[in-house]
Amino acid sequence: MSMDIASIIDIIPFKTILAGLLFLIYWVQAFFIIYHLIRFGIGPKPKIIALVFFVGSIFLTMVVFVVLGQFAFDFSGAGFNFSLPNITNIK
Amino acid sequence: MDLSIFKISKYTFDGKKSYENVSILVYRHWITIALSMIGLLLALFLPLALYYIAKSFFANYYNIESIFWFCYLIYMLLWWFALFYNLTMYFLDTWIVSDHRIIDSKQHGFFKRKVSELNLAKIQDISVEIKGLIPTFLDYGNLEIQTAGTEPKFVFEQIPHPSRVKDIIMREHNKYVEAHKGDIEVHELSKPI
Repeated sequence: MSMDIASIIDIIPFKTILAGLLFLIYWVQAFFIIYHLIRFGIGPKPKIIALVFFVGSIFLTMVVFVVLGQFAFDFSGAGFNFSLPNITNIK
Repeated sequence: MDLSIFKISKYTFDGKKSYENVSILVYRHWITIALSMIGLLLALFLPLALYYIAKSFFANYYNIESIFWFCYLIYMLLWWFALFYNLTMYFLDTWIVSDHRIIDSKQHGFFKRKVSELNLAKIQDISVEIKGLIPTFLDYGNLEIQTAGTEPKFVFEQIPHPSRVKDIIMREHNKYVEAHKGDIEVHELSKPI
């Protein structure tokens, strides 16, 4: 059984990996901000800011994932030919 | 659901004693964060401006609209993070004046935090420095507290209304000295051993 690079690339769920990495990195950093504001913030202001950041982060993450879900990555062709279908030559 | 932490505050902080009351909580003046906020605002619109310039040049060759908006959304996520990172650093850089001590709390990044405190009895001299045109108009500057001996000065940096803060510190210092003759903590004397 022989598998060329193109077919291996087809199997790898790039979108899921990218989304997972993005989600993990962002939310670990977001946790640090929320933790610091609630743990060390004095008075109500830091807590309100933590809440605004949390709500905004959820909203933005959801929008990014929805757009990412609609986005198509095309890893076809010989070797590692990375092409995005949305960049089209219209001439 | 208890939402009191968003409305009322007892100004509690790490190591606050049960008998301690916070007189004033001081942040840096808003102008110090306003400059970075303006920079961030420009950073939000800069890719949009570049995109529309690029579009006018390459419109005949490539359709990059969808890839741009996708990248811009990820950029916005990073921008949102940068905005709140700045706000976090601003709100965690505080000075607390209580009726017993002064606490200087500084946050340098997520994992570097410096907290120093000064007992009100150790205050020897307080000076206010307002230097420059904008600080004079907006009434912000540095407040320096000289302590006994060779200890370094305790500095409140770029705080709003430093003279008013100085008056509050002096008032608290006088009250503390009056109530704690011989620098003995009267509240801890009554505690059972």
